[in-house]
Amino acid sequence: VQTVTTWTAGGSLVAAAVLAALLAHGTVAARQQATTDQLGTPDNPPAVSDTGGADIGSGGS
Amino acid sequence: MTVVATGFPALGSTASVLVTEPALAADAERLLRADVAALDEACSRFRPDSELSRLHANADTEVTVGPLLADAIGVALRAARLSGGLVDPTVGTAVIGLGYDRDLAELTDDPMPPARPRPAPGWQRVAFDPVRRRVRLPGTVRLDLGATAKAMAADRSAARIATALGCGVLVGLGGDIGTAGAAPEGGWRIGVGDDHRLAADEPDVVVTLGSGGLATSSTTCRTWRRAGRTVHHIVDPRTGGVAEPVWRTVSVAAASCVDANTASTAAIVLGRSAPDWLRRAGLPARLVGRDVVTVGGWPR
Repeated sequence: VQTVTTWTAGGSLVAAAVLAALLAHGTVAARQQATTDQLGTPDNPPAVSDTGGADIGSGGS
Repeated sequence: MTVVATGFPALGSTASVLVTEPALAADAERLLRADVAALDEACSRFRPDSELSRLHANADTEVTVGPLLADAIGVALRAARLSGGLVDPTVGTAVIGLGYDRDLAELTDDPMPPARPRPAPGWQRVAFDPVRRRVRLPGTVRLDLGATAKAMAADRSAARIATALGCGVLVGLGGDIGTAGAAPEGGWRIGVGDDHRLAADEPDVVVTLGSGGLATSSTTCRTWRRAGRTVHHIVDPRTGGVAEPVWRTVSVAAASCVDANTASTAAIVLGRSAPDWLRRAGLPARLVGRDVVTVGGWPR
């Protein structure tokens, strides 16, 4: 009985450690997902050029 | 700060690189040429010797692919996920069915009507392990990475060239623009229009961009004729047919060219609800249909 109790206690500790690691990993993964799983907005929106000319064109290709 | 531009034909379109150090323009072009060649070798669906063609030839088999193709597939699948499937790389068969089965320059008028459209198989059917670079395509799936691979290359080349040369760099591949390094004073000046070849000299509007990317998708370029009708290359994955003609041209600015391209392509496919979708995403955009609509802080 003592062996079983010891094993159970040890197993619980291991299970708790694994669960904690999984939760920590999940939290990190969720945080990473939150930052990368969306289309990134620009630091600043484009502005109207007041000089007129363009260096390059963006259009269909 | 003087901006110098060089360019060359590539990928059925135009490749351009702008640098803020005139003396480095030739080096920048050499680096861009190498990047474009590598992209073509990895991702072209027209070259029988491309890595993508070899992947298609090994359908239903798990294949290890090179780093560049793996990254392009990863970027395409991310775009599909973030756009809710509006930008889906599994439209390859649908695009071929519309007649776009070879380099655009080789397409001729075809009196035969396009094949009956069928929805794309769906990006979820691509089994992909990005760590091991293992890919398995079902036999019914053909990838068209064109929507996002060029944009990915614009981002990466700009970053690589800026790091190598230590100056501000803008790379334009077709209408897809990526930037890196310090922008010139006042920002990069970008002419926006239906056709990128004309947009620099005859722009609808000129905007400045300090960082990130800008992409324009349009149904007016990359067109061909089937059965007397003009067909374009932007496919709605939900139907397998061309996107409904609500917006002819959509330009989007984002943190990267890939994200801008994902949003501009999705907006063409999405049609009427595109302005609200772009607003919710917080992306500055200009949509041209019967009217011009701007959202998300795009200058009026």
